[in-house]
Amino acid sequence: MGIIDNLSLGFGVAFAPLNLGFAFIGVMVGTLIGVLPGLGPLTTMAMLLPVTYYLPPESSLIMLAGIYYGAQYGGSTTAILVNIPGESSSAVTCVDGYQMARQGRAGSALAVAALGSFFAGTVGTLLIALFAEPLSKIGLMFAPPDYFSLMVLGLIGAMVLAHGSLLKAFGMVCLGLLLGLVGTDLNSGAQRYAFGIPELGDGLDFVPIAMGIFGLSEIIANLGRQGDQRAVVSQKVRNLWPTREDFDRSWPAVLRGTGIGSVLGLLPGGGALLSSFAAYSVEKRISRTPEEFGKGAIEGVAGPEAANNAGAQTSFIPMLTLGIPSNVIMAMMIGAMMIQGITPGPQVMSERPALFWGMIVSMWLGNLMLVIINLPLIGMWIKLLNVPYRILFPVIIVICGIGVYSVQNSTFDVVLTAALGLLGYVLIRLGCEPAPLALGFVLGPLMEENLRRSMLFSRGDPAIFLTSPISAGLLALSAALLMTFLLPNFRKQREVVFRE
Amino acid sequence: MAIGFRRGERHLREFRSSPGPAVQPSIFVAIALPTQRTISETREGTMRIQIRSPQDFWTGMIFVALALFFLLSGLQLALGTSVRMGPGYAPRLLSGLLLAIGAALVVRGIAIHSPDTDSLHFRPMIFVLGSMLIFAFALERLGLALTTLLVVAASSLSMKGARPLEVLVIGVLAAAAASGIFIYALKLTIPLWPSI
Repeated sequence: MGIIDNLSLGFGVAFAPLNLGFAFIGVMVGTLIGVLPGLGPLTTMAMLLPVTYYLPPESSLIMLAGIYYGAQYGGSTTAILVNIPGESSSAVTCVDGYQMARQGRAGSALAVAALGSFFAGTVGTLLIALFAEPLSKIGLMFAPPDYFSLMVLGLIGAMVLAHGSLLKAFGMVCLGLLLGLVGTDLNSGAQRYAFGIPELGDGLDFVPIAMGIFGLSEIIANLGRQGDQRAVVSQKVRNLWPTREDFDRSWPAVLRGTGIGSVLGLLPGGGALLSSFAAYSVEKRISRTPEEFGKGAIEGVAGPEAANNAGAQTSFIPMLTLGIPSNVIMAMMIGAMMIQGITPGPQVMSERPALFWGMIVSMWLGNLMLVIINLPLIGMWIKLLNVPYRILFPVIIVICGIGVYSVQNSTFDVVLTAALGLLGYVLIRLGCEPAPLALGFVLGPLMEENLRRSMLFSRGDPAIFLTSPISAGLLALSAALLMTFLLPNFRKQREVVFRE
Repeated sequence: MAIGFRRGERHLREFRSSPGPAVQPSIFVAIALPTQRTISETREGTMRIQIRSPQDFWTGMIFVALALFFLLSGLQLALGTSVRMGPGYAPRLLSGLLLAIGAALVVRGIAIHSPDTDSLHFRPMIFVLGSMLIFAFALERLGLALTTLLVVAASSLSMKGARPLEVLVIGVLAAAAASGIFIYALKLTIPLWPSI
């Protein structure tokens, strides 16, 4: 099938009324939680995961994907108007976006952010459509050692790209892998770390982990930070269209941001957050007027906003083609596929073309809806920003509880979530990033299985990881990634990027 | 046991109340004042070790504790050989790694100074996690409506100066919305009222 056939199949699926409806719900919810600080796409997806059980697979994945990229749009609104990142990936947008709003250029900033995001989302979707098929063909050639090395690359990527200490990130990966081992060992049937508790026999679920470590600890951190009062730029947002000058200055930045985001989104551990930071520092470096950055430079909004959306889109590529999540959100998508009885991997595209192409086309449609939702309805989102956190957070906690409970009607999971919330909060305060832990948790069982098969195949000779060309290449890439990090020069730059 | 009542002290309390195997008490005998530079003897004769980076030190301690926990409780699992890996192979490998990382962090925390430190916010921590526990305990006994009310009330205590009337209104609205969305619209199997 050519790409035209594929896309027309996708259009057929995406335009089905049910799927259109769920794409709309997804992007609406995504924008909503993107606008609201303190509720991220991960928590929301975890809350809705049990609900997707009742939906057809296409609608379920279309809706969840919509939440992720919808949140990228919503987050920028909050960043520009309130100087608080509604979403972590829009943290950089605060810097110049808020300054623009204070100068009365909020309309211009919002429009550039939305249109830049739309352009980047379109390019990202196109890239998925073009590269997914060849990549999944490569994926089908993967043998167990290759998969193992791919996951090593993924974990090393997550470690290198996490904030802070590499050693701590490594520890978090190990902890995640260990938590992934809980439950019945598929090979021997032995119970590991179940302590006679029946709920642990099937292993830990991803939802309590995500909800505890990301959701609850985020709420606690927000409450601890109570001091900051929100100051919504109260002026009416007029002229929702960039001025000629802003337009001329922002389109090259959008192009660069799209390029940066598309590449960084592919990297394991990458995605929206890293892309936006990288795009900002590039814009600042190549600008002829770097002194304007931090004082309302439109490039500082256009570049990162395009980059975070492109990154959000292309991070779907490894998940869809190889079945390997490159970040925590994608791990959640994999969880959603498993609920539907679909094993993620390169075979998804050939076995369920309607699902695959429907999802891709719906992403583009969703991006289009987002421009429409965000620009004319901006007044509604601004009103929402005035809802104080003290009203929001008890409700969020209730929804978290219901979400965790309804995965398998288990109050044990809710207790587990609280325990993981404690562990997560303490570790985050101690400077450990939670993302490597979550990724380790998801990859743990897969890694063990592939390591086991490789060793059985090679009769215990670890050289198999070097004799297979794909595996050797991936390991070399991992080593290179680690080396660049350990070089002092890169390290310094990474610190600079994260500090900004 | 001499404990320096300074920066690391809150983490210390936190750490001691955390589950997991007991760590040698002598390891955290004392946390010295930040001005002290070297290991010295106090009058009681206990060692005083200066922790230059509490963040690294306590992360390391938590990692070590968790690694020991996973290592010891996984000892009965068969190790197998590298050709046929048993169920205990990966647990031992990983807890060994975590142990080494934890130990390295402890050493780094003692040896190398780094700026920090984020303190824990106990009030929201207790009430947010506590209301999650209330949710777990109450849901199947009291039903969703009353549980929601309880959880909203309990979690509101994590902020100072919560207004009782406002909390009541939020609680009732949240209970109504939760029941409507999750039980009537999405048809999740959650009890709505106490089962008598």
